[in-house]
Amino acid sequence: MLKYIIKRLLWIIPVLIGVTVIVFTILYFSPGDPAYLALGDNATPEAVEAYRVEMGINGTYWERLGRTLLGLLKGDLGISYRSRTPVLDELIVRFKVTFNISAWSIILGILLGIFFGIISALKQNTVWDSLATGCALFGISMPMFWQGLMLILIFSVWLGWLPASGYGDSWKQMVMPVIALGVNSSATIMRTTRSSMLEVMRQDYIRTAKAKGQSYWMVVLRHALRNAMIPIVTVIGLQLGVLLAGSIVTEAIFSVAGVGKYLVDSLNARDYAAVQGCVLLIAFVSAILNLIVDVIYTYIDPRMKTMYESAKVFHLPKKGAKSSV
Amino acid sequence: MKKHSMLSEIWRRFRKNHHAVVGLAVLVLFVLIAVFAEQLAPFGYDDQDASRAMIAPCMEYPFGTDNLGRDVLSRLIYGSRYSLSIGFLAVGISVLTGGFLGVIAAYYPKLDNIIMRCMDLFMAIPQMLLAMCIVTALGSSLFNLMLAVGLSSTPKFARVVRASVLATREQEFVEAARAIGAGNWRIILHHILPNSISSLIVQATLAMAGAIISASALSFLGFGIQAPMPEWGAMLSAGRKYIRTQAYLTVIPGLAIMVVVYALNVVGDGLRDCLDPRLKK
Repeated sequence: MLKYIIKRLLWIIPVLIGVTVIVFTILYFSPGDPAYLALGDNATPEAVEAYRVEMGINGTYWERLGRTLLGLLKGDLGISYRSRTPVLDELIVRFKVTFNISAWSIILGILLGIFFGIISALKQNTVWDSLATGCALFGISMPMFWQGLMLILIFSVWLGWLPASGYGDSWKQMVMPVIALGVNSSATIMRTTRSSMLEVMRQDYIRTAKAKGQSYWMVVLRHALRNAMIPIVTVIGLQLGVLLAGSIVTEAIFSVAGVGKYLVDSLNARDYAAVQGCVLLIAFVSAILNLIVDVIYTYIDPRMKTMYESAKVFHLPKKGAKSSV
Repeated sequence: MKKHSMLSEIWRRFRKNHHAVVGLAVLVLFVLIAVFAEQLAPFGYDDQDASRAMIAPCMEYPFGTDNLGRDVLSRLIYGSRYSLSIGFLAVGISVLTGGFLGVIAAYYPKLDNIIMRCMDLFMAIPQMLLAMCIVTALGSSLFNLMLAVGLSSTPKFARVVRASVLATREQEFVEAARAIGAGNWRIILHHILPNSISSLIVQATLAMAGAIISASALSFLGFGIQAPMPEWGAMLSAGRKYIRTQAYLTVIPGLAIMVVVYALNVVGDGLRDCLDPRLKK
């Protein structure tokens, strides 16, 4: 198992290099010259050249790409064009905020999603089931940014209970971003929980467990839920990536100074070093989260463990392929 | 004759799902609205008139007017063109590019590893982020927005198509086709694709919902379609300033997005149930 984890960790390095190349190339061909944007259109060529050298954006495509990759290997993500501070420092401060909100959101999403998924599966084809599945479908169809705005409208404009923006002054400021992000994931988790539970509840071993006189909830939670967990964990893993991306929109709406807002501001200011850093950070975090999800599989289903231990990294089953969303 | 009976069989199964039928009706309605926007809209999408700014919904302006005195209903009607065309064309782009790469990867084992590892790299970047970067690089316009949203979901389609082609490739009729001397591309186009198309259709319908949401989110953040174009996400973004006083400016465009996306999701679910019974769990 340890060998497998190490292999996967090493595999992250080429992924990050690849991601850097992709993002660097896309941004390299973007219109707008950061140097002229920072110094104004009337800047002298000497000043522009000096600025470029300072920011490390002089030279040809290959020179710049090489410099970026070398920096990456040293753990240096470059200097933000705007603030002239290392991107990494800026990101660490902001990532704590994003992480905090995302963590609470996924907890909310998992609790709501699994709870209503189980209820819905146990009460299949009743009013409760159609109510829950209907709500989940609405939850999936609601654009996250609109949901955030509606929360602001209801809880800050009409009821005046919660502050509409900001972060860090009081726990109240976290409530709406967490709900906006969490409800969306809970809808997806709920749908998967429902379908997975429906399948498991029809298995022979559930009948056996019932027949030996085990209490109803024991059967549901211990025999059924545990066996239904694999697709649920897969979806939770995918949702973690969705959450990180969703935080971009949510942070913009609630003006939370997290990675997402930093990314949007940097893109608008053509601060490409910062953009690259944000994308890399998010890709890195999702890769680590994917690995954690894969390790969790082996605890839920020991059969997976032998599979991982014998499989080569390249031939692992791809999680995305069997997503049932 | 055979084709007709298969279609009617699918329709018979689809019809049983009442939600899906309602969803389909809503979609058809929106398509008609988009096509006949000029005839239906009481005003143009950019008819500014300061004397009638910020009128709350009433008989004459069912959805009110915005800060420049433009009729929100008319803008919504014209806006349906953007959302629907982005949905269709963006998914079209990802089906074509992803489908091509997926077929190649599944059919030529030598290229499989290279293509799928590249797709993994793109998958490592969240779709929304990738779309944002692409649209920044290309500059914001309707076409570039479609391209960005479409290209960012190419890897997902490559995976879906590859998986279903791999499953179909081993079937006997493919072997039979090869035995009578059919070329690779003939086998792919005439034997494999028609047999793996159903999962692609389901994925495409659901992806259309996702594409509409991503595109409106990008416009909302200012990366997509710019004023005065009446794209729903851009309308939301403009109305957001007045959320404390004129809430309808944010509520209504969002509702429109939600209705279309909801309809697409229901139709997608319905199609999955009747086209691909194995996926129905």
